[in-house]
Amino acid sequence: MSRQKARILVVEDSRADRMLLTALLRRQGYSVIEAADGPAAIAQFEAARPDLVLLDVIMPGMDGIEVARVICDAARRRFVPIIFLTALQEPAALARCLDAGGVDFLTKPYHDIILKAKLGVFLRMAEMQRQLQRQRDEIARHNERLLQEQEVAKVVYDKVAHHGDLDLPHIRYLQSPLALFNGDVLLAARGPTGNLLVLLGDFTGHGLAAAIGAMPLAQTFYAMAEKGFRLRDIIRELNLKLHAVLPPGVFCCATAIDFDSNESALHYWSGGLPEGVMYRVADGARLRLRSRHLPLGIRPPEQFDDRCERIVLTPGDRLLLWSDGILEAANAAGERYGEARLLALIGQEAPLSWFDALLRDVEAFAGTGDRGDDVSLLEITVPDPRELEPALVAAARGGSAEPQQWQLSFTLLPASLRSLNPLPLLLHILMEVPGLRPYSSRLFTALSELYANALEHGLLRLDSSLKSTGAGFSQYYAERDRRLAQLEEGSVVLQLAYEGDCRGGLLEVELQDSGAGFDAITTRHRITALAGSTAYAGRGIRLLERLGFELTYFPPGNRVRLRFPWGEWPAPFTTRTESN
Amino acid sequence: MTVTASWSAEGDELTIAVEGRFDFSVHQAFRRAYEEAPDTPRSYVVDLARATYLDSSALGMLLLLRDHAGGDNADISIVNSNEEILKVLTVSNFDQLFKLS
Repeated sequence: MSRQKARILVVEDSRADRMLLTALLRRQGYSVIEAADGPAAIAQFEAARPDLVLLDVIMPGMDGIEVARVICDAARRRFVPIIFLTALQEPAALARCLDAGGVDFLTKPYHDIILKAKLGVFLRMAEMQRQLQRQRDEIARHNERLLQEQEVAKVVYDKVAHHGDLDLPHIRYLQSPLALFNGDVLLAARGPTGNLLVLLGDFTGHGLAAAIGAMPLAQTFYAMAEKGFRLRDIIRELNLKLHAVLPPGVFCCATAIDFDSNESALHYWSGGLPEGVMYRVADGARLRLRSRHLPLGIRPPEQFDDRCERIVLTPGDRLLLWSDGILEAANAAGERYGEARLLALIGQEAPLSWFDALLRDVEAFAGTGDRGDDVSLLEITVPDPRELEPALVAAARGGSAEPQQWQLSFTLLPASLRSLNPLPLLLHILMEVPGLRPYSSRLFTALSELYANALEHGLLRLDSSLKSTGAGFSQYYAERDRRLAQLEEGSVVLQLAYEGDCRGGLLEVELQDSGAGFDAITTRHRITALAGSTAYAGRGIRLLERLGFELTYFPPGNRVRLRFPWGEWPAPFTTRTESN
Repeated sequence: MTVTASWSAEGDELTIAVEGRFDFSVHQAFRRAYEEAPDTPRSYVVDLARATYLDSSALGMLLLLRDHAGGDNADISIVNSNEEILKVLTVSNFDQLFKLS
């Protein structure tokens, strides 16, 4: 108040009293506005915006109490103290003044010292109130800006995180809007072989800091899934990226699943996320997806464990995954929903209604309490493999009209056989070939099968008949890992030969392993492979034949060639050129 | 104080006890407990006997402590966890980084 004279509105019908008070106030350094009755007071209040009002209680016409009510109304959020001027002593009358919005009284006759003290107190109070108001406005502005920024960030994030395949008919999910900024991530992508990759993640911490890690996570996930990388490679890369980017103490709990329709199995990797539940149609079992790993981003790459678990699937199997937000929904007493309640509910409910029943139960439990703002819930029903359309691989469009002709030979030696998946790299090269894009999924399947055969049967001499039982399947893959780790010599040579132009072409893929060939391994493999038994084993070869590829095996069975012509090839004019 | 630090008689082990909810609200206090220690202890003990709850930001704080204490060479025990807390720690496989009991 020292910077600028405080303005006091004096409302007093007695001219003598008004002049006396005005003189007193001016002497004390205030600027004074006068009003002789209620209506004038209200008009002055609006016009002069005083900092404080001294208001006579008893006035002809509109009395002080009525004026106070109007003024309080008009002041709205602005705090303008009203001090009543009165000769009244009766407690009930004084109380009425305070009820009407007054803060205090001054009793006539006025004392210079009391007047000064009271005005000082109430003007300071008004100033504090104004400061509070300013801060509140500022916070509100900040908040508004933050919300607006979040809105923009959300749009960007949605583009990165949700251009995926979450809208597939066998995926159902709920992600509350706030979950995003609490660091929950939900990703789904189809790979080129018709596999489906899904990841539910939960970053530590809250707000933007937690959401930021989702960007590299989502981008890496989608880019790799699209190129045909499988779960193990992807999860390893995600950990590497997050470990490099995130500060210590920030990490991502995640469960990632790769549904492989060719193999009728899922592979999953889980680290730190609440353990999901799977309902298996075949035997009615409810399995947990065990969290066996540290969350993503904690371990440096060389210490990271990318091993996945495998579960055999039947169409209709059902999976439910959630982040801890749903467990933290609390009732009015502060008690949390917790995992025990969730598991009990899932134990009772039919798998078909898990999703809805869980949401209903959490809502009923929380009541008026905290329903948990960051709920992520994901349900996947295992589809019939035929329902899964493989993703189209993005490819270079157009291409040269001039005919092209090239060959590529790629040799994998033990160290790379152990750790490198060459297929995405090769597919990437093939997708540069004009016109090959529509066949990417079939080609990728073919390359995967042939490469797996060369490596697993040719080089590692694994017996595929092991895979005819579910338990054998796990044993098979354990044995595969063991033999691969011990592999000291040997190679797989991959050769691609292409000729063609924008109208068509011919691709030849040849794989040769340094193993002894079919004939020297169990004959059973060859028989199942070529006779097309219904066992698991050999289905790779049958699959390729079904896809319309022409396969030639060369004795002793360690070399195979796949021929794939498409479009108009050889083109008429090429023949002409050759004959010239 | 919800976070208290105390030294072993030999002066080579720092025990950090957390009381109540072990979540973001104690992160300053938790960090101070080891950053402002006058000496570098050989080992750390995080005593959760009186902690009721632990969330993922607490896991982050434990990782920061581990980082501070030398990463892979850190010797940190997390003791007296209640069942629920132990469940959170084991689902996150923190037994690979800390001694849990």
